Amino acid sequence: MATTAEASNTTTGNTETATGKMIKIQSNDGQIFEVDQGVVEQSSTIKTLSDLMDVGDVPIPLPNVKASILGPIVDFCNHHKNDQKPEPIDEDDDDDPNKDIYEPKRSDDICEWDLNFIKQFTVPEGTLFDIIMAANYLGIKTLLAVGCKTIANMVRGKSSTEVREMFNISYDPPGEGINAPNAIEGQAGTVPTTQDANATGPSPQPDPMNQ
Amino acid sequence: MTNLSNLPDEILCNIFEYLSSFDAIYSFINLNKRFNCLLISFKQQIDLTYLSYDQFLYYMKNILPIINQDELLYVLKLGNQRTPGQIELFNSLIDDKNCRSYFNNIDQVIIESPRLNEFINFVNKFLLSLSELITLTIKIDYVNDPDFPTWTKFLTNTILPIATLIKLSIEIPNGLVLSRLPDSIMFPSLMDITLNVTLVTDLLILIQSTPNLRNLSIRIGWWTSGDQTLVKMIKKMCEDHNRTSYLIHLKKFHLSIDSILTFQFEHLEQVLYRIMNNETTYNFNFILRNAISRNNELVTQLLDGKRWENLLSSYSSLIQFDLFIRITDSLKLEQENFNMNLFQTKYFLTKKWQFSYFKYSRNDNIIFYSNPCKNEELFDISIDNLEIVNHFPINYISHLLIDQTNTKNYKFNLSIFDFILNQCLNLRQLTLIHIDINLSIIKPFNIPSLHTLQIEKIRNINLSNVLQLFPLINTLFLSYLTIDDQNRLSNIHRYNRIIELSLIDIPSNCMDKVQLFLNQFPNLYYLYMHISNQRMDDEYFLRNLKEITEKFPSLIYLKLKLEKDINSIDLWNEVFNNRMKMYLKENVFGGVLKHLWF
Repeated sequence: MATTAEASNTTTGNTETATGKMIKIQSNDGQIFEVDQGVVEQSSTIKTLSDLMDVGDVPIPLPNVKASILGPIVDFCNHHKNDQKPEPIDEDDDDDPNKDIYEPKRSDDICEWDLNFIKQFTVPEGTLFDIIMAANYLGIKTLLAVGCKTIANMVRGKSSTEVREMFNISYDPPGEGINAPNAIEGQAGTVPTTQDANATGPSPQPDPMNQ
Repeated sequence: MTNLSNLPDEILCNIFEYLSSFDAIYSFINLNKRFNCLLISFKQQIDLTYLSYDQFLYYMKNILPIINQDELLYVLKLGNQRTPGQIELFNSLIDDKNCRSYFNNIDQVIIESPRLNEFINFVNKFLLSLSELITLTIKIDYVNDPDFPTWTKFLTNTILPIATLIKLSIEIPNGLVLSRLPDSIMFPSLMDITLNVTLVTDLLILIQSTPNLRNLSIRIGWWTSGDQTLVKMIKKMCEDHNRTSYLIHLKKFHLSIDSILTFQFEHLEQVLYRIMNNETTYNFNFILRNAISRNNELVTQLLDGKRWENLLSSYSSLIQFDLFIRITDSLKLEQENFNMNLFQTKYFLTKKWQFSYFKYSRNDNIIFYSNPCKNEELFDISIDNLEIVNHFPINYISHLLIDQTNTKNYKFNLSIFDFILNQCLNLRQLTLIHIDINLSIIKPFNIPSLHTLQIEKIRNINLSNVLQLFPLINTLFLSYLTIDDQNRLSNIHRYNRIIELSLIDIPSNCMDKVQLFLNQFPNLYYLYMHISNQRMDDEYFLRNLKEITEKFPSLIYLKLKLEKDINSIDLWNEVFNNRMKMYLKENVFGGVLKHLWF
């Protein structure tokens, strides 16, 4: 299955292109993608493996990524391979009193192409988490950031009850974690902490933030 | 199938980094033990300055009691800047003993834009009772002239002597006056001070009271070598031939001077001898923001490398030296070369300190700076010649102002505009004044750090084109008069990313059109409108204002600058149907400012 012109699965030998040597990578379900140096440079994992191993014509195995995720990742890297990167500025943290307190990173700066790209991955199918895990494994910082920002933007303004429902987050088992008899959190009571009908503590209060 | 809980802790922490403390806690508290552990650092600090009124109350009344069960709050930031009335409300809430007890362990407080009375209340009722307070930051943005002595007295007599304080930062308009500080008073706990003072004599008074400083960052309003008090103090210092610093532990010294009236380099030397330390000071930063040279005196003294070398070579521990000097004067090429040679001696080259000139023709401004210099002042300039493209460290720019007003020699063209913006990869704010370029034919600039766009004095701007060009901005400042007719009314575009909008020059009787214009920004959190309401019917104005606020449920803060006050608070309450929770008013030149917190 070919995903892009550069990212086609192939059985031919290594080729040289205008962007340098082509490298083959293989998903855990056996599909091979051929990528150029512009793609390799964005993934610290692939770059390290290709630098360390004299891979020749042998594809680099990526046992943690399946083809249905690796294909779009190659598309992403191909799209971003000519992006300019700002020079890192080693700011002196002591100079800015504002930095004494935590400030969140910006999450509304996902460009239009990336917004459309990430839309193909969903929470119900679990593919949004697959792409984040794969970006983390492959060391593709820009893609990891897009995934994390997307999740942050989804949850902002949602109560923990809504977040639990949205992501199907499990409760601690009865008697364990925050439901342990001596757990401090379990006594707070204002936020539901258990599904156990026999659990002690006051009923969940109406959430004024969602009224 | 993978779900959120399958993500490793490091990725969940990555996700949390994009959320404020409030948002992270509100969305993830008490889901299970794992999430509670990941939230620990968010529970320890809170920035309340961007919350809506309801969120603020929810944090104080619902979230704090939960946090307090297993964690302690250490850092608190609050203010009036975008949450007007918050400090007053906080003062009233901490009357409750339970609520007060959640703040027992606070070791760091940041307070912004306080009014005098509420600040005094806050300090007396709350701040002085914090036994662990180590770090305090106070940012005062507005001082009534008659209140200035009270501010000064309170800050010097009550804040500076707080015995537990190690790090203190105070920003106050016109600078703090320390001349009334008693000679014998000492502040031995202070190790880190950031302060703006009125005169250099205030700096000399301060250093005699703070013997344990490690870091000192001072901004002086005026340097006046002709000041008799300064002359006297320096004379006294000169009598003591031993050049011992008062600050025997000082590591970093940042000196920033807004302007110079009269100057003698010897005076600067004497002041620095008493501050910088030969054994410990490794960082010195000198900034002169703007000064007008008379008879070339400033240029000959301040741009004399030999004098600087003589001064700096006394400090063998000095590793880093940053210089930024802006003087309004003209400089001949020969003199420029001569000065530059004096900054290229063996001493400077060994230290690897290098310097550059930047001149821009308008106003004969000379900027002399060290390379690479990251001072914000360096970039707060207008671009009107090609030199900037060739010789300027443009990649460091965070705020770029492109002003094409009265450009005689150089007309900004499309390719230069495109070239410059493609170099500015750390740009956060862009200001365009009098730009006459067809922006519709340039490829969009996806600069992730760029969040603010300010447009001034550009006629008939096509907003759609501009926002397509800068798709990632979330803060927009523009004049209503600059928008072309097509965009004012039924524009189908929706700019979902814009959360902050400043709209100035709104003419009389245009409020209904403004409503239509604002429809393009459905996600506004902060809205500032400057309205010429002198001839506007109050009822018409308030009715439109009500409709605007009803359309924006996300709105947290509304700031209005009005030429004519509408004074009835009952009327305002009625208009906003109790949605407006807190309200501050201040009289300003040419009208009144109203701050509304929703």
